Amino acid sequence: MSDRTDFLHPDLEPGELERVERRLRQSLAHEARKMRPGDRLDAILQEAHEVGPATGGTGSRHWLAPVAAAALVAAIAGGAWWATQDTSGTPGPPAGSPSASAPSVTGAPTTAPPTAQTSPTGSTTSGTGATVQAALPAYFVGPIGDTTPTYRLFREFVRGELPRAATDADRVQAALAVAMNAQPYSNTDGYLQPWSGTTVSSVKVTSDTIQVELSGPGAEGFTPEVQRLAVQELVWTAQAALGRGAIPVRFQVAGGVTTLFGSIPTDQLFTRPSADLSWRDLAPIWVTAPTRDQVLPAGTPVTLRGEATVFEATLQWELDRGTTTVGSGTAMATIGAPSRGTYSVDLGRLSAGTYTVRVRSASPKDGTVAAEDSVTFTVR
Amino acid sequence: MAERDPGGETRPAADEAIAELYAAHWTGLVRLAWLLLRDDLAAEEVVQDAFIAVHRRWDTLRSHESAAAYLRRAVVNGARSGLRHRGVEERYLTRERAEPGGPARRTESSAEAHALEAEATSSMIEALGRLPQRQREVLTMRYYLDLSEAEIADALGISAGSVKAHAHRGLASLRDRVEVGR
Repeated sequence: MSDRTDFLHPDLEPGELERVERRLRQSLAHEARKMRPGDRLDAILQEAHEVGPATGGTGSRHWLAPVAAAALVAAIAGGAWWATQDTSGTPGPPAGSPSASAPSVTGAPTTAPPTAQTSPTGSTTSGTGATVQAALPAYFVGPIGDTTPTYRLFREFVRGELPRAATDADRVQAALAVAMNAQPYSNTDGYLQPWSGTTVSSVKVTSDTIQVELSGPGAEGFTPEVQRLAVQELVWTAQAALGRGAIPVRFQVAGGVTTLFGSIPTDQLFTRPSADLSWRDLAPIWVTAPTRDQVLPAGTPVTLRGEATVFEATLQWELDRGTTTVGSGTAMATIGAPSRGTYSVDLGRLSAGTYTVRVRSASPKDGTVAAEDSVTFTVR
Repeated sequence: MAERDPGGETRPAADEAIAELYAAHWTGLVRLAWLLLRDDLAAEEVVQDAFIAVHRRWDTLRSHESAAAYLRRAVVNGARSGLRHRGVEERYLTRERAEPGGPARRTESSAEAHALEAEATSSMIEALGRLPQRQREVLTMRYYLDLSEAEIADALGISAGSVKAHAHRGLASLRDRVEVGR
């Protein structure tokens, strides 16, 4: 710093310029967020091929026809095209699009399952006898997809049975039971099982607290950060299942134990962080639709949706059928880190097959994968 | 988005390089161009042209670093000639004053922006817009993209010493023009 403040304005004190620097930096960051660049990668590649290499010549590029046509349509349709992409931050924010999941920029958990999840059967219908089926929100501690690996929370909606006249407490307890059993996902998604061997003995919901009694303090062998996340996964799950916002959670462990994981005292209230700090808990990228192993009818347009807290709101996606990449592109979340935005991409009509869609963000430093989430689904 | 033709013969190295560069730099560079030009479409076009130029020259650029440097040069030069050709510069300030919330076709709802922050930003941005072009370029590259003096010098085709001098003069003017709240 001193090397920039040692000439021209001897009357200025170094600290004064530093303050201007700081304010300028903040102002530029704030100002720049007003501009939401559209996605032009396809247009760039198409035009680059059209022009040909610097040495000249417009060689035959028959194979490009479909791409060229798509890019041309994009160019002609202009603003309308971007609007339908739902990714460029048109003034009518993408968060308002029909079935974008509710959290949008707030980072709060949805209080109702996303529409995609409810497709096979209604979420609260088809009850048999005294129970009804419900999609319960459950958070899990999983790797975010970088090489470290870093762990954060992922949300799943898991079908469960609830008593027909389920109370808030019943619903919270059922969701917690799902969240504490990460075993079904540990092989496929690498979700950790910090609550292995622990159960929820009871849940009590009052107007200002959710009280959770656990059979034990949690499993051993996890780092302090994973322990923290393991507690937060229960907090997020309980608050989401209750659906009344950030109602604080108090834990009690059977047998007079006063800590969770032997290190986190239970004599305190826990809650999820405010929206601007949700990145501390939530994985940078979630794919929320299609859902895991969802079966979609062939010939119907498929929309990829999710939430993301990523640098400059920039995401890349890739769609594979088997081992063949059948589509790829970039997408913009509605807002960049540290806020949590939503994104959606129209994948078009897909022919029958099993697909995996991956969404990732690149590290601003070196372009390596900073975070990734993927989901596998079937079209038939 | 277009599907890739799996059997097509392409220039995969250049395509892949562009896709990577795009992921890493597209948003930042478009916003840089926008901060300099204050015109959404023009900003995207300038950066798009820069990417196309990199694609064409990929055989000689070869590395991510040199391509990124090329992109920055092309974007700054493109933004400049855009300014020259369209006289955008004058419109900039008028528009800033007319629409303090920000001009763009795709501006984000400022619902999440605190009023005070927005006010501080607009006075700082307006003051920045009144600086000589070179100072504005240097400060925007330095404090928005966090580029080093060497990188800015390279992009602008001037010496590191000049970058330093422009930065210092610019900051001093901003300090004089914007009430540094205290």
